[in-house]
Amino acid sequence: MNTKNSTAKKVAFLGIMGALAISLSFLESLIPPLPGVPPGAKPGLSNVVTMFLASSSGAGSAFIITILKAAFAGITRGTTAMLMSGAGGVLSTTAALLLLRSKKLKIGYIGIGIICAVCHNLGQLIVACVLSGTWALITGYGPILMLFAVLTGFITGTALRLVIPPLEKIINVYN
Amino acid sequence: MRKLFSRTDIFIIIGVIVLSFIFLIPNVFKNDELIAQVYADGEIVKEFNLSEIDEETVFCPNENIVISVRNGAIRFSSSSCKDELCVNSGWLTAKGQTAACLPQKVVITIKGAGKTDMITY
Amino acid sequence: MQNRVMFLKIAEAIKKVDKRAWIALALCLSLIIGIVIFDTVKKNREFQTTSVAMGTIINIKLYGPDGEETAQLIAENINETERALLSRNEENSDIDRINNNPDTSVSVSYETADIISKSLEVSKNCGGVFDITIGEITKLWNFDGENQSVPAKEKIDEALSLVGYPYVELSDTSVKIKEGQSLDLGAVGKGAACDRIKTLLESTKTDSAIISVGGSLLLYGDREFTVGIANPQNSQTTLGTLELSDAFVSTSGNYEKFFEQDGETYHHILDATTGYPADSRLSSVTVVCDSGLLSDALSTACYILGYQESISLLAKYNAQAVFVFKDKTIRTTDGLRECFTLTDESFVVGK
Repeated sequence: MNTKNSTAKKVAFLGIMGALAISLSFLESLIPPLPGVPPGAKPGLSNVVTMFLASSSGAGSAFIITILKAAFAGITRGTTAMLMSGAGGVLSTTAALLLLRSKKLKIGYIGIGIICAVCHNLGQLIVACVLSGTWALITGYGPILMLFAVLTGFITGTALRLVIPPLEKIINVYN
Repeated sequence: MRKLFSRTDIFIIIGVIVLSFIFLIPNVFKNDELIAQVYADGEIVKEFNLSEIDEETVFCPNENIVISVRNGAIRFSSSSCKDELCVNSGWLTAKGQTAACLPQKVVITIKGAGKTDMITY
Repeated sequence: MQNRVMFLKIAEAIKKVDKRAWIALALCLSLIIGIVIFDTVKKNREFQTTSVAMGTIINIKLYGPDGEETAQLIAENINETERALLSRNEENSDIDRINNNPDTSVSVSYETADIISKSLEVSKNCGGVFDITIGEITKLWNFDGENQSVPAKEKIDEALSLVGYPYVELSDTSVKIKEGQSLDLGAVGKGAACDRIKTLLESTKTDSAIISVGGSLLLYGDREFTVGIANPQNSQTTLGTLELSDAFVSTSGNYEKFFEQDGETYHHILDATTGYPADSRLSSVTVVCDSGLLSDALSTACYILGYQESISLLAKYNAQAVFVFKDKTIRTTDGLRECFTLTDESFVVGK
């Protein structure tokens, strides 16, 4: 396999993944705000993509897609959304990389999903606190966001379990 | 192959739930704090944690009003209106207390009514 | 060809995903738990704000969704009450048009006519001590202004001759007053504003709310609230509390507005039969009933009438009250005995 070809493949692959992440973000924005949940808190379906990349591709591609997601949020919803998405994304991708690469920890997909969701929400919350200057947000929104993360972690973890085998097949076939 | 759900995950879920309760703890203690809010035209313009103020300071929501804040207390210390009803209200020191300068539409209130939700007068 | 192999491999991989039913079940369960959590949180979501309108302090505490928007609607509603209906100072409000066109039938809104008609009825039932035609006398005393002084007796007597609810002619939505009279809805305005807010809240998603329009309260919804009754000696503190839900509460007290002259204290609750501040053994009366306007009007009327004569008036309107006497004794009507708690031990609850 020559290098040039492999680079082209990687670009194409990242393009597909980026499109997937962005369309999942868009899909999520169509969900009406859930009652009782702070505005901006979303199930984080697009995290499935970054988690998959962290698991099957590599740290580089996972972070590229994370940043692409933040840029997309910035273009469509403004700077605040970009910073929140960026902080949450970087934190959760880092967590996913560490957990998925670790051989010692016997964490299931749901556990990984929950930890990533917690990191994602925490990152967003910290940015919100810094931007608004009110640290009371942590105690005000923190508990509900944590509980919300358990729920979304369940969903993303299960989704990850479902998509990893077929998607890995795609990668293998192309390679 | 990694499992969908392992025993470690149960501990993670418990951990996160415990974490969310830890976040709640400051809320419980907060009830003892005196938070004073300054409203102008129905909007909060300033919030003071009266328990954390050491030196007496002043705050002016507009050029006609001076509000003084010290440890555990807040008051209107001067106002340009003639009757100065707001200044006569004196220091507010307990939850649920309110003083207002009606002509300037400035209200100061100490948050959290303690046991009572509202006072009829 | 390569594509076909790929699809087959993907299909095979999908088949390997076991326990799918279990996953679906877990998802459904977690969703249900989530929805239950959101629902409880939603119900208890609280929004609180304070503002100034109608020349008084407005406190709003809302429980339920859309708190901020609802508070905004309430603020607009109060301003509308003031601007269109009740203000004496606002040009072209219903009251202003009635006062400026004596001896003429003035067509007003249904709401204003309703407020006037209910006020006149209270006047009738209390022997005229409470009377919305007292406008000219309140102007003389000018409790809302500065540098008050006791008006000359001749002026009061002259104005008093024209005070009288029977002179007001009301048919449907047209109102006519006599030359020289003027209406003052100050004693019912805050209560009437509470009534209008209740109607507004019924069209929102608010679960429950407690709203104070200058000390007149609306308790909306099933939630039980603790209402403090102001201590007449220091109205920032309370002398006792009432546990209530779904009600209107209003207090009239001699401590709200007053001035001193030659060693005498003159408070703002004027007896419409004498033109002077009511000579009462009471410091304050708090009335609880199912109408804001009535609780407001009755608290004024009861303050002037005194304890004994108030009982039958309150019974007529199925209203309850707490009487605070100047000698620091407190008496409540039977319906409030259970829900009243004394918090200031320097007061005594009488039998």
